[in-house]
Amino acid sequence: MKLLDWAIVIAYLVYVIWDGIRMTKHSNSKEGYFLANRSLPWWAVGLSVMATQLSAITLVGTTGQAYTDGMRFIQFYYGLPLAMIILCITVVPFFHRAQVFTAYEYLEKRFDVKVRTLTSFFFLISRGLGVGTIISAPAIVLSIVFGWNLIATIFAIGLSTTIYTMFGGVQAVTWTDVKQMVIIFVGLGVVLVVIVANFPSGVSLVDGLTLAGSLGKLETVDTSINFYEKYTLWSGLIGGLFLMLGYFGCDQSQVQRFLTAKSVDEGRTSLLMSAFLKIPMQFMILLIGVLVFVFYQFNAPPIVFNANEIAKAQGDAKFQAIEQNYAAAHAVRRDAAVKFSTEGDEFRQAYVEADKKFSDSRKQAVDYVKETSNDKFNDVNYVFPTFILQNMPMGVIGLLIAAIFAAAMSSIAAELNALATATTIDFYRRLFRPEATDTHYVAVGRLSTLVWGIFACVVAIFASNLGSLIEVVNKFGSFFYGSLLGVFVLAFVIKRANARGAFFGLLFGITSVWIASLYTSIEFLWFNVIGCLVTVISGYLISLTAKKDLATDQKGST
Amino acid sequence: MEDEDDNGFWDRVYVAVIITTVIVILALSGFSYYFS
Repeated sequence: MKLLDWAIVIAYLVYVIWDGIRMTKHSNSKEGYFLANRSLPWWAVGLSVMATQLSAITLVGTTGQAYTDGMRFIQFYYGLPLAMIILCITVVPFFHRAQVFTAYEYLEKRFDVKVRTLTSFFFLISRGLGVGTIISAPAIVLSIVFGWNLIATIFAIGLSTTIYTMFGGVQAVTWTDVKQMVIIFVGLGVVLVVIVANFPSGVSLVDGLTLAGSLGKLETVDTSINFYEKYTLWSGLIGGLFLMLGYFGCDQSQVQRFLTAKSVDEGRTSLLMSAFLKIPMQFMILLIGVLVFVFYQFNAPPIVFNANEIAKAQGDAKFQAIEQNYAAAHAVRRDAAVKFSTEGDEFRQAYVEADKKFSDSRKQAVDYVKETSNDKFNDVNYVFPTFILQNMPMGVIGLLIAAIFAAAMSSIAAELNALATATTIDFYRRLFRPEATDTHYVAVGRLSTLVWGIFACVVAIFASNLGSLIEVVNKFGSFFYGSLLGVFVLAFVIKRANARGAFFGLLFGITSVWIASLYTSIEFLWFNVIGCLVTVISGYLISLTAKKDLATDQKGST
Repeated sequence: MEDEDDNGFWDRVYVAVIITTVIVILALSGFSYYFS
């Protein structure tokens, strides 16, 4: 990294902190701090919705996934537009008219305080730990690729976000999200152009896509019905629909975004903005990953993208032999790629075979690392940052690191703000101090943001040493969404549902997903469907029983 | 649940979103097919 790159990254950090802090003047009341006085325009809320969903690890992980596995991940988002429509019809008007601060506050109006407290508690646990992993995952990757100190990277991302979120509240979160999305889009646009400009002369974008397509890297629709395949049209449309309904409709970090909109219509428009833009945006990110793959057809890629693992293995004779084999396989594939691109379809088969041999030689290296160093080794998240560092020109590196920081910070800020809101409104105000001044609640909100921010940084430091903890936290999040959605379905759709049904339905839902994850190999998107259905069905049945009990009691008492 | 005075505006918007999504998925499918 050159001085200019550092200057860009530091300028970005300073600007974003300053921009967030200057929102403090609009955040002195409870409504202002937590809901921006319900005054924000749809386009700002819409960009904030997208920025919150796009974390740094989504950005670098998705490009890496496209590099290794192609574009099939895009199917994950096929259920999103339909989810947004359902939310526009149901949740947005319900929450706006109920004038709530949190999604869980609505559940008390519909059921009782126990259901509200339980759902909010699960949210705090899953998101409180989850935000730590949102910080740690990119920090680990950036610290290894760029040789930075891990703890300094965690604090650069986590504490800077905590500072502006703490002072500026939801206004700071939203308006910095808008600017962060601009930085992300500009960064991605620039990298797209630079990659294509670096193709060898005579190889066009279409040639590059033909290379990737001939290896199956451009598959975007898999119509097979297979519960054990992670990304298919059906898992995306059905499992993805349930996940997106749970995430956008019941997770406070997203609900709080559209609660800040000026009106019901502005809230709806902000969600529909995502419905229109999310799939094209993910296509662009995945396309960059595919183009990185094409770039490495003509330029030798690292044998593994995690520099630490290469350093460990470097002296070993077996690894050196694998490296030589890998370099030779790349040379053969490069020549085959050039021939296929310039001389036509008759060289397709030779190219496909050369790629197979190349993939086998890389697999040998990955297996070596798994055997000698880390049995869960996976370098997908290292592909994009390593590519940036080794191949992007001065200035663009800084811009892209700023974009990765922006993706991380936009998600963290929304999570911290939501955690602080749930802590202050669902617990502090509801259970401990119902009557206090706005200034008091804003102060509690700021303190909560600070405490959650520090907690997230501490979790991030520990999570960086405990790979399995990250997995557990992520799994817990996916266990939670479907069941939480089930509680809201009971609230909105099933008139006979009561508090007892919702409370135990949620517990049954989470337990059922936990059991399904332990004893089956069903892919995680389907967990959302299972959790939701079990919660709704068991909640409904328990509600019926409760009614019967009540009837029996009444009968007994007369 | 819909606003009574929107004259079906949002219904038309939702239909437009669904049609656009179907077109986008078909276009992506065509993109994959073209380059395969």
